[in-house]
Amino acid sequence: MIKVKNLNYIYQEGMPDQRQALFDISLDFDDGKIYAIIGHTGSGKSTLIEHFNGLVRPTSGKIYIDNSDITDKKTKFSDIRKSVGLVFQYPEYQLFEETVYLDIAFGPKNLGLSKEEIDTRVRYAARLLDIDERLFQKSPFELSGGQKRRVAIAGVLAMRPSVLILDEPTAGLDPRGREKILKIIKNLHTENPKMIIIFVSHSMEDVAKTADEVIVLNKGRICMSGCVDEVFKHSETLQSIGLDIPEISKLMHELSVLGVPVNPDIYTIDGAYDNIKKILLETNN
Amino acid sequence: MLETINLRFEFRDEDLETGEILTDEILHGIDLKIEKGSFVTVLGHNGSGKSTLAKHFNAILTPSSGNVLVGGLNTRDTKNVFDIRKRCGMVFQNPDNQIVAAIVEDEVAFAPENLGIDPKIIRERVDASLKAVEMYDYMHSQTSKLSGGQKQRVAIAGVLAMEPECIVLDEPTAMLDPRGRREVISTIKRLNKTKNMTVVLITHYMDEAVQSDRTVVIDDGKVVLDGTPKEVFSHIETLDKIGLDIPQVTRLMYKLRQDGFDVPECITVDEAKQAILNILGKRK
Repeated sequence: MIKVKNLNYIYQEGMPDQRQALFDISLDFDDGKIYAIIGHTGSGKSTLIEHFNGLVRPTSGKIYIDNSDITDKKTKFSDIRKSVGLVFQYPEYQLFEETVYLDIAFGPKNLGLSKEEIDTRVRYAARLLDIDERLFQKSPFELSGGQKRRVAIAGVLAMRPSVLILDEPTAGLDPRGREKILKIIKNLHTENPKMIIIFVSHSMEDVAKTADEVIVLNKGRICMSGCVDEVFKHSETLQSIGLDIPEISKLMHELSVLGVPVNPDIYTIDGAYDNIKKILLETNN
Repeated sequence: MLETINLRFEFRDEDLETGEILTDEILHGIDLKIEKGSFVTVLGHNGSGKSTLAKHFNAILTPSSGNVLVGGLNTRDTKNVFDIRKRCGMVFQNPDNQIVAAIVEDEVAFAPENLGIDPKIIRERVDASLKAVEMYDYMHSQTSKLSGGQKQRVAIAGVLAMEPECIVLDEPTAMLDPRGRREVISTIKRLNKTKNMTVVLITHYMDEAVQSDRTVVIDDGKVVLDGTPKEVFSHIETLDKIGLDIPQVTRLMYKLRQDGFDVPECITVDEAKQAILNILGKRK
């Protein structure tokens, strides 16, 4: 599990343009769950996740991963990065190897693993990301956008991390590509039941479909956190901090305000369908 | 304003080992007529050919067969290319790939300078274009310090400074956050309404399509659906098959209609709200 305690981060401390990006963040992430971090641009989402694999050191506060303090100066970054895999925004821009196979194998190769173990890991990661082995000898630059992104994520999973963090994994993809990535994220737990998965998103629809728990950041502070149902109840707060809520949330909320006895907390099409159908049938009788 | 007549386009590639010519037809005969002053969205997923189509509208690509006319000028005639690009400007997906200058006003002046326009007139055009996209206050800002939405608006201003009749935008919001997307879309809509600018917006966001006058759905290099957004989104089965999104409220009302409830097709939250109030007999 990950434990974050009273984390503060100040950019350019002591310089004229110093700016505090995170204020007193305390959070727990449990094994085997999917967490979504949402918030407007500049809310501190990316800064927060960059702390989790040691890219950024906190100004104050502690971060424990499986009880070891990663903010301790003695902790080696290489150890943190073995257990915490971070997938950046637009990770396909980081592909560089000659073939898909070599690109996925790059991380494990640097761990000094045997050829057999590297091969096992490449095939394992490719299978999780639904990458056809026939693509292995192709150049990653010949692939489609969605395929490239999956290869880049496979490169991180081949490190067999216990924590996987993805910064806006669906940004810029078309609906099909988006759907595919989200399904893959959801299915990762079948083979890695204990993995902690954290993803950053702007899309409330993606969050509703994929996450167990949601953390809402606003201006460097935690604005809300809890299970998806709980957080989506606060549609007014979410909108007030510049987030888009699902259309269905908007509809149910507005109907409720006008006195229609719908449940304003519903945010899925199926939920709204059942709820409205029941009300229509009752009024007809 | 824009017209494609049986437009076909194929990529040609030569196999370096065998010398064999490989061809791949991307557009299989597109016939479209886009009227002056209209706001048209082109929907389709990646690989559908929508960007290839967009690149025909200002002669970045020319047809393998068939014709494309921009304001009556044929894009095949190389003499026309300069005029065509003046009439029809383009904005691309990645804000960082299309900005060339370090300062906002220099960026906007870039195109008119290349057209050899009198500096005094360039100044007027730069000011007017920046005002039109609400970036006038950032005239002296560094382009690298702007947000994604602001960069896209500067890119749009750069096109406006050529005073085109038409602007084609290829997924201008795909890399933006929700606020940036709203900024860009409201700018596009305002240009269309107040300046009667013809707008072709390539996108895969259906909520952007909902705001246009006409939506054209492209799949596998062919026009599959073409009509008002409401007409297009009524073809739920077709859109599902292609793998495109449908507004949530449209799907909700569709499910209710299938159960025999008398609700109309809706594409916005307001329409759906009104429809449910009506059927409940609570007219607002």
